[in-house]
Amino acid sequence: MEWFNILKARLRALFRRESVLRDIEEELRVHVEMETETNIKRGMPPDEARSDALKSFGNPVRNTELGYDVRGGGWLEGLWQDLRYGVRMLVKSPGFTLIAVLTLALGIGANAAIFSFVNAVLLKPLPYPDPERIVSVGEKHPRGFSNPISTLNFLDWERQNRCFQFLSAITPDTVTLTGSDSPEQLNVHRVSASYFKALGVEATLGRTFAASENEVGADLEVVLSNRIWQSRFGGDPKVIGRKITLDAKSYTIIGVLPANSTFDRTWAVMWLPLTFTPANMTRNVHWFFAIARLEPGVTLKQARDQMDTIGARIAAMYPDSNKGWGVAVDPYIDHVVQPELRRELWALLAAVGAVLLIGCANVANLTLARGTDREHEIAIRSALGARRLRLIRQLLTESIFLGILGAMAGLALGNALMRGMKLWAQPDMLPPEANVRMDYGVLLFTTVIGILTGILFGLAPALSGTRPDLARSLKEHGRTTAGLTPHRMRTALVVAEVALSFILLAGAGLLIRSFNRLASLNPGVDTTNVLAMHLPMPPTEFTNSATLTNYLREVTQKVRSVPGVRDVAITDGPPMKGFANGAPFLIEGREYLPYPQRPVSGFKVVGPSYFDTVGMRLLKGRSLDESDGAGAAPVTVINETMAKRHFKGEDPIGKRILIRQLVFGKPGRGPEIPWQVVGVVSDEKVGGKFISLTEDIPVVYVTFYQNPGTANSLVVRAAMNPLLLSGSIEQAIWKVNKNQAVANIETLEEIKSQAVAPARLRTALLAIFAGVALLLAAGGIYGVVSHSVSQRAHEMAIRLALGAAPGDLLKLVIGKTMLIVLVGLALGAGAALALTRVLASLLYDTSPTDRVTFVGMPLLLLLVALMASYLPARRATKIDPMIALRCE
Amino acid sequence: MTRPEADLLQGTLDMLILKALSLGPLHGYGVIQRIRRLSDELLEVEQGSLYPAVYRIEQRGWISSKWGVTETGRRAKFYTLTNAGSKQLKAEEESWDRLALAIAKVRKAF
Repeated sequence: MEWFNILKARLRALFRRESVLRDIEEELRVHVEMETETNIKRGMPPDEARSDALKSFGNPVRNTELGYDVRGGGWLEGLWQDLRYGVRMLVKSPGFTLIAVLTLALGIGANAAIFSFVNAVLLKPLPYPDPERIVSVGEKHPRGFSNPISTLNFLDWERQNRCFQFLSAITPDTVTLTGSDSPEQLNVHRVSASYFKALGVEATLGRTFAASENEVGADLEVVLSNRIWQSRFGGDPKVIGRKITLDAKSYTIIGVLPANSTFDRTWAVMWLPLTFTPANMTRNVHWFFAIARLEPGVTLKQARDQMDTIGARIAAMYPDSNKGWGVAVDPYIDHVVQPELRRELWALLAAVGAVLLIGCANVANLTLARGTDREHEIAIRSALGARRLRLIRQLLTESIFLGILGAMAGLALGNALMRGMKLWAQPDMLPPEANVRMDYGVLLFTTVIGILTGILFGLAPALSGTRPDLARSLKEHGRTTAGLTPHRMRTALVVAEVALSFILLAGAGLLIRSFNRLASLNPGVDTTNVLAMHLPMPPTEFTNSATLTNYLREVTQKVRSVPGVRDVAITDGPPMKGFANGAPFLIEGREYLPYPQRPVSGFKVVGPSYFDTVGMRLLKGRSLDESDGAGAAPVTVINETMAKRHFKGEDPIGKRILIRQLVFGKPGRGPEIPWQVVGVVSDEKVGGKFISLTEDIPVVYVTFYQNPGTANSLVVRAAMNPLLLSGSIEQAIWKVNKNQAVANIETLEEIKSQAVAPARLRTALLAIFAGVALLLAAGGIYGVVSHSVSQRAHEMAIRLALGAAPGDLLKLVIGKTMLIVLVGLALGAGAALALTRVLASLLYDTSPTDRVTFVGMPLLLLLVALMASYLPARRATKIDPMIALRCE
Repeated sequence: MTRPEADLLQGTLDMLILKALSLGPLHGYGVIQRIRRLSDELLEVEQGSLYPAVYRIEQRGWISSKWGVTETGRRAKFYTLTNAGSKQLKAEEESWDRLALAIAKVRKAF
């Protein structure tokens, strides 16, 4: 409590300085008067009495000060004084202050922006209650990775587990909303009734699903996200109970989810109950995911052990479908934040950290330069009795104040940068749980960085600027040879800047090479003038396969007749969007493998004109055609990867591949069909959400006549910019069916661009940061050389007067600078070689020690450094020796 | 910037002031006089060191101050010992006695 009283007293003294001083003065005056009285009583004459009393008391001013020192503001007032003095000095040199604040704002702002992402994605816990108790659950493939889940397995898990408080299935789906002008396709999630309870989320309006709503019949209810409630339903509070038509069925709206939550940022806009129909009841079709909340008191390890047991039990009972398969239970956050994203964000933060350090070095250099100009002032203050500590404290206060100014400007800059990045990034690059914004965490981080930065760039100049041997500088005012210590410090700073810039440039260079290779990757299809669009079809719209195939044929023909259309085909998915179905297969005549252990290929259902429309080449045999109809022998065309991997050294034509039939209208699988290989086509890149664009996947293609399904898209090759035809294509489709929703209209160029968008974003960001670093380093070199030249003007003048050629002076100055730069390069190269390993997983077809980068970047740096030192060095040659020698 | 001897002196001065005030409220001049009287003129507190010490003790809450009027009708600031102060005085007296005892023992050993 004592310190509290002391603090109170000091604060009082700080803010009511005058009254405290008067108080003390009065008290001392009274004391002197009383002493005077006593003296008079002792017999001294009045004047002598008073002067004697005063003398014995000592210097009144000093006493008052002493008194105030004890009672008064003390160090708090000293701080205030330092601050006011520092601000005055900064205002006196506006050039320095402006450049320093801008440099710091740049570095701190970039850090604030990146940190807001790091904070939202990596540091904050998931926005659910007790988020560490939420897990993702999946089937464990024999090769160890997590796989989507089949219905019967899931139901067994539900019945047998004791470790999950809630276990919920979730699967993405699309529904067609009709009832207004044109049918609209909406992204939804179908979820078990316990889904929101597992997450711990409540509706803000209405309610979420009750347990009974997973039964067929009671499942026509839908929960809205706040975003779609505002945009499509006008935020009407009476929306609860309203009916809407989805996929031709009438659904009741029962609730609205919280605003500004995960659910506003995620892919789905509505949530529907997930119901298992009798047709779903298989173990072979893996079509949904699951999350769960651990029962209170159960650890992750216990849950894993229990589910392993259950998985083994199921595998033993149903080896036909489950042999070798298990259950994967992982923390939900690992599912939400992919390791690659984690690595990227930390790498970006390190990069902007390096940029800030370079900026600090520049400001430190500027401060050092300013320090030599202030040497005289500091020497005088020192001679007048200012203690070194006090001087250092004052200088540091100035730097920290500068740092905080930089932090404030940086916050504004960083906010703009953060918004820009959010706009640029595609929605699925970030987890929807992450709410990226400038919150208190970011503010605190920025303030702390500002203060630390101030200390960092201010400490060394403060220490060197107040060294004890300043008497010398007093004598030789203006002619100091810049001393040893500040000079060494400046050199070290330049070395550090060059090294750091090199590291960033190396990283950026690698990413740029990698991205170039990725962007020029041959997607296997001709992307010029091709349009793709999705034709959502509710599963109940067609009663049998014949009507479906007729419909698809009619749509194909109608669209083909649109003027400007060169070719059109049905496909179950456009190129580079993954494959809709995977097929475990067995090649006839080969060693028998139990179903669950079979290798999986992509299984693509297309129209016969698909290969021509997208521009894939036929390599062997024949393509699919119209004669491969429903009654004919099932045929398939396989891709090159399939031929190379599974038909090594033999001719695949004529061989038969056994794949269990995907039965139209039922998500289960039917009997095994021997698809006969009739041709081999070149690869198209598969891509999609789960496969890297660069991976080669084996795919088998069949026609929709022989295996129709309700996942259908159109690809259309046009004679000109295909977007111009989208209207007429839609009209053509609506002539066949006016209720056909047409969604996701995009060109293949756009699709390809989206596929490489994450790589593009991080490459661009790192390139920008490296560029800024290079500029800052160049600025630093320029500043240092410039200052050195002006400090050594005297020396230069003498050299010129003694007959040195201007060229020699240039060589002298530039030579010394480049030596320093080379040292920095060497250090930087060493560090870069060690550090770029971290980027290895983000690089495509590029080694972390790529020679072109590690030769090109040093050259770039040397060139920039050369220019940065040449310009100020030239000034040395322009010195008129007579003028310089005369101004002593 | 205190020297070690000054520290000892400081602590002693604090104790003397507290003791002086334990006999009743006084103003600063009065404290000096009372200490002089109590020590039979042996201890003369330097006037320059009195007030810093008094302010320090006041900040720690061992004495409290109030402007009042002397017998001669003059306005002066009076200091009173607080409860915390009298406890502190007792503690300091005890530690001073211990110190004196220890020193006496050492002296007798030779």
